[in-house]
Amino acid sequence: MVFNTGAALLDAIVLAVVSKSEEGTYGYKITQDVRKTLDVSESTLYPVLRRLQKDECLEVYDKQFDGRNRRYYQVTLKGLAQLNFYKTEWKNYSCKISDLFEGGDAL
Amino acid sequence: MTRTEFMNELELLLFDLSKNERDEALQYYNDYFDDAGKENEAEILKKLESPQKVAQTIRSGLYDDMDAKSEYSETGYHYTPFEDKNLPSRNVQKKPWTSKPLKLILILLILVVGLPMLLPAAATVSGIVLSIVIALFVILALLLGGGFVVAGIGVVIFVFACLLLPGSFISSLGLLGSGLILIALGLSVSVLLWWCALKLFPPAFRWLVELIRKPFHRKENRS
Repeated sequence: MVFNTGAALLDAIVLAVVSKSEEGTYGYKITQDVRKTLDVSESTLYPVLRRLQKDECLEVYDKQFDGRNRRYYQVTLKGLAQLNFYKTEWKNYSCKISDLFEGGDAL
Repeated sequence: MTRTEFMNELELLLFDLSKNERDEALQYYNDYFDDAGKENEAEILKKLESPQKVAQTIRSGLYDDMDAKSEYSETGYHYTPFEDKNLPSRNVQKKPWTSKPLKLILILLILVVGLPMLLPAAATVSGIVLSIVIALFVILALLLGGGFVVAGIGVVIFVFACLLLPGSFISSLGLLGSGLILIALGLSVSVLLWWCALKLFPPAFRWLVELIRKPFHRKENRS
């Protein structure tokens, strides 16, 4: 990993991943899905999920699975709004950089 | 390390978190292991590296920004580098509430209430200790002296025996013998006791002085 992924970007990625499932997903699956995009360690995501939960961007609920309780994370409306904000910011940010890298002489 | 050992150690390492936070974290990782399945347990244990590392990650995630260089703050994502940073402190105070003035007042109260009882008690104790010490001194002196006294008696008997020698030989010899024995006994007891005294006295004395000095030293150090 060449570029450091800041806390904001990490939040955005996690929100994006969780928002893909309407009914939400659980910790292990979230980690697996995030790892398809970004190389994060097994322990990186818990603090992120916890923080998003505290900021009310995610909510949790427990569901029975295989005879035990499994904790599911789901995006809230606030979380969706935050995600949209992040998506716009990212577009701005990455486009400018892409322009710089790929653009011609005119700046 | 097994999963159970790992989780147990993690639980211990999260001692300073609130019960709620600790339970949440432990549940997350227990769920994680369960969802991964037994077959992946070893691999996950390797990837988690150590309970210490996991605990540290959890803690830093709770107390401060994961990436200090990022421009993420509680008010949202700030990208403009020229913007005035108004970052509110995110430090969650986990220290138990304590206040210096309160502590001082409590100490003062304890002294005021305790001293009237403490002083007479201290006086009695030191009085007892002193009398014991003096008694020991006296006993020791007597023993030391006694040894010499016995030797002295032995000398007297010896001399007496010598004077009687011309008169009755055998009985004076007997007296001579007992006199010598007494001298020997007396002297050896004295020497022994003197040696003991010389070896034991200085340290004993020093220890006693330390004992007496201790309460004063402690008060000096506190202030």
